[in-house]
Amino acid sequence: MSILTDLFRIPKFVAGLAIFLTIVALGLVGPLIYRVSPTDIVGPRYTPPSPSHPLGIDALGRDVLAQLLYGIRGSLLVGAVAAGIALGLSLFLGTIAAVFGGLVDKVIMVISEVFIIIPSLLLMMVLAAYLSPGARNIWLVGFVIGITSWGGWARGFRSRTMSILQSEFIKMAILSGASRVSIILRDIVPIISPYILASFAMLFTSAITAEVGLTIVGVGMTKDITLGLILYIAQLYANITQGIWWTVVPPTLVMILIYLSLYLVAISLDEYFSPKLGTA
Amino acid sequence: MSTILEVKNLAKIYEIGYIRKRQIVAVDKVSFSVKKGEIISLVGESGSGKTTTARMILRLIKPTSGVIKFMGRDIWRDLRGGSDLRWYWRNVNGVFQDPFSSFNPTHRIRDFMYRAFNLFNEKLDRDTKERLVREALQMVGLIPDEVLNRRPFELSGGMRQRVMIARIFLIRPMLVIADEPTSMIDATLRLGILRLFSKLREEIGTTIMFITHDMGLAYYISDRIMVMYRGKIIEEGTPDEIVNNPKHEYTRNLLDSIPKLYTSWFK
Ligand SMILES: Nc1ncnc2c1ncn2[C@@H]1O[C@H](COP(=O)(O)OP(=O)(O)OP(=O)(O)O)[C@@H](O)[C@H]1O
Ligand SMILES: [Mg+2]
Repeated sequence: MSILTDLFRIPKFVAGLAIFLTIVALGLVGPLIYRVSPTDIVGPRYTPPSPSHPLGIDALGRDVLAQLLYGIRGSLLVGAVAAGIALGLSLFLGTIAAVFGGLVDKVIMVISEVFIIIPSLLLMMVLAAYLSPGARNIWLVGFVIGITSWGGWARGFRSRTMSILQSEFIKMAILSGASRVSIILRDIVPIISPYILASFAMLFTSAITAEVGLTIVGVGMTKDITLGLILYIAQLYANITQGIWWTVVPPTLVMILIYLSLYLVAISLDEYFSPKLGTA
Repeated sequence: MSTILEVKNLAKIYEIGYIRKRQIVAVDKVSFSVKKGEIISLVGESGSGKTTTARMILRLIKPTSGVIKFMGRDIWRDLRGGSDLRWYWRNVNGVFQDPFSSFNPTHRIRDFMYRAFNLFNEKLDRDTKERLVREALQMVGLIPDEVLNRRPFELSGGMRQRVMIARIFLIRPMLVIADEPTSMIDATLRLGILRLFSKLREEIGTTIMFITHDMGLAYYISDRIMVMYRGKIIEEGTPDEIVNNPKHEYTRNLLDSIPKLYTSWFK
């Protein structure tokens, strides 16, 4: 695979991927190695970092490192659920709109417009009013973020598809009896695959950020531990003003690193492929 | 000989520009018919509307007005649904002018060739398909093992044109619309490939419409030549009629531009 070896020569890409994979490893393996429950009360509140509790203890007497490791896991899961939903919807609807055109296109564009306008905050507030607090878990929050973030990307996929549809090789495919589904799957998707990867990375980061935003303002996660929930608790007990840095700095740092690493991956993919495939 | 293709008052007007709309009459009420088994050339300068005409016959762009009938069926009115269209493209297919943009850059040559089996009604097993594809590639002078697993950017323009022609030999349609099919193929190979088209006609009675700006080439291969100028067909006749007795000023200019060497070769 010459593409992979090429990509691995781009420092931005390698750095981004390495940081991201490290964080993923922390979330996956961390809780298995550091076997402290994130919900148990392990000592007096606000104990500063010490050898027995490397990141100290939070306002509720829980181990912050355990919280952080589970929080990374939770946030990554929210990101994956939301990005999966948003990418699936935007890719499916965007390419269908472009390839089928006409009424199908119009209907999809109107729906995407509606979902561009609805912010996840609004939808989450409405749901928060109806659902019991315990229902606000990773899946629900991921779903809400996913369903409210596909609209713009659907338009992006649609316009890229439209420009590819002008190509001579699409006409050649039609002359070979290719169906519209085959044109989407075999002609369009392989060509826009770098853009798909880049969009997944961006959706992922923005979903993780969105979860933190929703949870901090009090309409997000209540059940599962995420980076957002750690920061929410820290903020609820005014940790920053009290100088309790160990509940705030680590999750914020991880957030920034996730954001930065995936951003690096996304832009290096786009920079590498766009000129090559003429899809800039 | 019976008429296989009938074109009546065919026109295509492109509208360009968003604010100030401008109209380009690419094809201007063209009428002609093609007999089964005939080799007919459409000759004209760049921008005269040849490709647009070809695209409409291939049912890739919708005419602004006019009728195209293939074997008595109006291709824009009487063909409905996937199976009618597959029937049409099994019988009418083409070679495109630009061999660079006619291949999906992510596909291998094998994918490109195999896709044409969509048009086949008969169910073929993998071995038969592979054999047919290889035979078609060999006919145009390509070595199957050297090209099948390659991607288009690994082949030259001439090789890609030959792959497109091999695709035609695989499909074996009744009517071939070949738009500048050999422009990038070496002169030494070109004649051989053109002869293959004649062979296709001998074998299965294929009708061929050649599109070219090269009057010398048209003279050499055609039964009949149509001269196109600014969207209109201004002259039509056998090669000898056109060469010996051109009626239109524009045709005379085209004839003057044929290199002498070329004419003396082919006469
Ligand atoms: N999609 C399009 N939109 C607008 N104008 C077009 C389009 N396609 C072709 N034209 C115009 O229509 C006219 C005829 O073009 P066409 O490609 O049919 O010519 P041609 O005879 O094939 O020329 P060439 O020998 O260069 O291939 C030209 O003026 C061209 O600019
Ligand atoms: Mg042309």
